[in-house]
Amino acid sequence: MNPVLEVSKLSMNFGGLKALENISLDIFQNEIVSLIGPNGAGKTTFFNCITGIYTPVSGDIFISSLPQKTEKENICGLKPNIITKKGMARTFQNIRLFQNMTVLENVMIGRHVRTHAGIIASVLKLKKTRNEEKKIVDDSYNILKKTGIENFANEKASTLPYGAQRKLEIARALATEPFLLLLDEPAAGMNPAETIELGLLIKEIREKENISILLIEHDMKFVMNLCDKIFVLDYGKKIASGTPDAIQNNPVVIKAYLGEDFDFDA
Amino acid sequence: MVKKIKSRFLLFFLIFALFGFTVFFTSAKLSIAAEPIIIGIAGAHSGDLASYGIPTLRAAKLIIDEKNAKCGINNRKIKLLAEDDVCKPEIAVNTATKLISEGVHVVVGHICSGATKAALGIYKDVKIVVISPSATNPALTKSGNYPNFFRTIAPDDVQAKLEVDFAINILKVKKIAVLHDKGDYGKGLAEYARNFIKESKIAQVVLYEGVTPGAVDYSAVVQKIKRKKAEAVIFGGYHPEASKIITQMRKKRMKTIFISDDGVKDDTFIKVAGESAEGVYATGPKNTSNNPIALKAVSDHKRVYGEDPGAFFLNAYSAVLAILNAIEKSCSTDYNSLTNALKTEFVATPLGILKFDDKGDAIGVGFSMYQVKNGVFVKIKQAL
Amino acid sequence: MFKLSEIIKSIAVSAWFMFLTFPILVIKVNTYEKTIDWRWKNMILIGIASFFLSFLWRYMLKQKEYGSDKKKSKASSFFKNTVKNPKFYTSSIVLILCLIIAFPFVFSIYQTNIMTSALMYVVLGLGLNIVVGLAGLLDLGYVAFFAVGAYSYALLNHHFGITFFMALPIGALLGAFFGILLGFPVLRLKGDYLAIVTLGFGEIIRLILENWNDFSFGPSGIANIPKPSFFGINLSIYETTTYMYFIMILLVFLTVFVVNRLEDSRIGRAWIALKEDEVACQAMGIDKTKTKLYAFATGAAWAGLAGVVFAAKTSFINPASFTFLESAIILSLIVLGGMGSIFGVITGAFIFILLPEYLRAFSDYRMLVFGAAMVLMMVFRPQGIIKKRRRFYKISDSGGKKQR
Ligand SMILES: Nc1ncnc2c1ncn2[C@@H]1O[C@H](COP(=O)(O)OP(=O)(O)OP(=O)(O)O)[C@@H](O)[C@H]1O
Ligand SMILES: [Mg+2]
Repeated sequence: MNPVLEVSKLSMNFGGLKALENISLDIFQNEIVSLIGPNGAGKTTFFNCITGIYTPVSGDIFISSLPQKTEKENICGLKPNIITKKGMARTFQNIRLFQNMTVLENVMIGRHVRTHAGIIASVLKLKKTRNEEKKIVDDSYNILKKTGIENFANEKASTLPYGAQRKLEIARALATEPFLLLLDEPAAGMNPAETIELGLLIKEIREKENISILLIEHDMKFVMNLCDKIFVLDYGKKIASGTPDAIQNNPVVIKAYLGEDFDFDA
Repeated sequence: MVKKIKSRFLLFFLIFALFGFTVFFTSAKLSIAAEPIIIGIAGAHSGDLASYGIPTLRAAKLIIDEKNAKCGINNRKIKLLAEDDVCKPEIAVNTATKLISEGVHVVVGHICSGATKAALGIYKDVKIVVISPSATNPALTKSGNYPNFFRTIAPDDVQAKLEVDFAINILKVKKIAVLHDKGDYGKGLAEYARNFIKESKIAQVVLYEGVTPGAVDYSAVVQKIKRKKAEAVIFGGYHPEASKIITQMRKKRMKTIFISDDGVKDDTFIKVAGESAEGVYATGPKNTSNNPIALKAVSDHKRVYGEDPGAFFLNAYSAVLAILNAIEKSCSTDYNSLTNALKTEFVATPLGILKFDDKGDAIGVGFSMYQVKNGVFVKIKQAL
Repeated sequence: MFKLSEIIKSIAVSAWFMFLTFPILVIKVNTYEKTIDWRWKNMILIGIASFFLSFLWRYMLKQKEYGSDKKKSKASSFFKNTVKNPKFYTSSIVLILCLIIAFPFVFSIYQTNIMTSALMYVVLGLGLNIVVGLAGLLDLGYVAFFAVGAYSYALLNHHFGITFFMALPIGALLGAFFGILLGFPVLRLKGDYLAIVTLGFGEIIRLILENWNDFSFGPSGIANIPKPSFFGINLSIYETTTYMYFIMILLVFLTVFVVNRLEDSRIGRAWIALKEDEVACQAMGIDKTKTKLYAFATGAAWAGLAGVVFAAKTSFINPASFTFLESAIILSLIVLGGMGSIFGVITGAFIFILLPEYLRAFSDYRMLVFGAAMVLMMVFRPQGIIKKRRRFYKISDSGGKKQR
């Protein structure tokens, strides 16, 4: 079985700064994987590289959307929108919603890659286009229901409470029908109750939609409870990988986090 | 949400209605037109080019006030309707439609060639005679497209023709360099000059070039003139460039004849170029300052407005006199009799005794050749 | 009632204004008599006026901060109730249609003519609104496409005798083509840089038209452009003006229809998203390049269309009609009317184009009045006269059913 995502020897520089150095990792179908590391370790940079926002200096990124498929596809250097179309969707650490659009419209934007109406079709609005439009609204609303924020459907995105905004980011990413969902600190700024709810949502997404998940998170309790596998980054290098238990007891990881007033059992 | 869209709709509706009322009242007020002869004055009365349009308005006012004081023309009072076109073709169309909707009988204007071209089609359609004091574009009359158009200023090509004829027939030069300042006016003139030289088949254009206006050093182009062994230079443009070019030519001890246009026939040119200006030829409007009507017009203007008249004042004064004369002689404002009167009846104006040729250009309005002698421009007698 | 500090503030303001206006309003050089007039009276008037106006200014600012919605809801509830009435709704539509149709027959040729101009600017405004209001691409060279449309009709007619109605689609297509042409180099640019490059593009087109004499007849322009023909019948100037008016009305209806549909479509949403956040937009799978080019092309197409009408209406065009000022006016009218809102743009165009015509008497102060209006607008109502509202989708639980 092929991994859905296989990154090999990925490196990224910013001027002289080696933000990522020879990072390799793979994620298999239906896994929830976490990427952790101290601030500035390069986690977000890693996301940006594999989603095409940055072009890596070297390395390869393979995807294979169907696990039974034998050949894999190198997506390194492709444009972000192509990568999304191929089935990887992401959220942003610093929320990047379309602030002045409604919640529903935000999700409808996510449907863009899976729909087709062009300029002429939009103007003529024949039956096919009308049906497509209707389906976009229906699908988007259903996704909102799934993420539990359907009550806000017609509110402006910027008026939403913080937790709901994070959920909307997830909903919007889900609307692109990904096989792999990349979440950048989805629990940041949430209260404990909301965090638990989020954990359930992520599990549900995995189970019901068959979507694999790679997430960056600083909340260790959340990570340890949720994930099948963890990768640890520090100063752009992968310093450890393994199951949550193995990571918690890994001396290298503990050292990396030392001085950061850190407790795995928090 | 239907509610919201409706309130927006209402707002929209109210604004629309408001405009409707404004339009209605402005137009209702204006729909009275009968007894008096209405003369439309169209031109730039505001904006950058107002200084070209205002003198025409003033000229018309001076004459009309005087006539009205003596019970008008044919016992009809004259009414003046001024409309601003800011010298823009698209606005001139509005101006023209406004004037015809207010029932003007004749129009004095427009000021700029572009605006005039745009407006003429409209006047032509409703058969209104238009007489411009300042639109110099040759095609306005020469194309024959606008039989309703007349003007009291010479078209652009007349100067070029004069310069070329003077150079070829009187100065007998064979090799001419034509220069221009890349501006509308200068380049247009140079273009005509070049064509006239080519047509003459006697002389040839050895150099045709545009110089950068406002530059300090023109030695490159001066060098070219020297290398091409040009006997005369015809320059289309204004005096700042001309004075620099002539100075640099004379410094190189070139004796090449320098001929230019009324943009150069300016005392500032002599002041700046100094010694080098001696012998330079320039065309300029025929000197009419001894004409008694011109003297009267200028003194009237000074008396009423407290200052010297501005651009095209005498041309405008002549235009108004010409059109009023035509109305008076033909005893009507009818299109055919008016155009006929303009073409047959002589009228005394500040620019001399005028009538118009078949195309609508004033016969006798034109340019003379001047030469700098002992620091002043002196009219040359033998020049055509 | 007034605090001392406020009075001091106002005194400072009035002193500042007196200082600022001193050179223009107080000193007058009389060139005829070579003397200087000192018009101290003006200074005193300015001082007093600015003193009192500064109070008003502050009062209005405060009013704006304390949310004026309380008052508004009361005042407008009457309107809302009236408007809710469907009878009123349909009857007002009928009324407007009647007004539109009756207009050229009731009013003079002049009124019809300037109304046609205003309608032309509605089309231009709606076109630019796609680029600026929806896609958020600040385009300061929009007039270039207008010029392309106008010259395409003028030149094609001159050389090949293409008629007005044939030129309409050609002008639109050429406009779109030039839109794409401009789009390519500026794809990577944003905000200020984009504005500067588009500004340059507008000037380039104008300079080409001005200098390439063999192609465009240079600054002397093209005259005698025919008006649209009416089944080969020769129309008088009055009839032609009415005819142009109705052609323009139809074009405006077409534009509103198309722009409205586009706005509520997959492409339209992508444009709006692009304006909000480019990175997120791409991450959502929207092709930035394609979407931007679409916006430039569709926006420019309307300018091309309007350009053809302009050429026919003016019957003479030269490059001087397509200066940066024209772009600025079109941009201003959509900002004033309400960026992104169709009603807003229409209102803005009417105000911006018709008002100056009716204000001819104050022509010298026209630009001053407009400047002041724009400043006040941006301070007190930055969204424009009519604010863009997001679309409202009504969803029943069985599935989505949308409504406005
Ligand atoms: N566009 C950029 N240009 C230059 N340096 C950058 C850029 N983006 C990130 N960096 C640097 O790369 C390093 C890794 O940043 P990154 O944002 O990936 O960290 P992170 O692991 O996501 O941290 P955090 O937990 O705070 O989100 C940091 O030193 C950061 O300053
Ligand atoms: Mg980060």
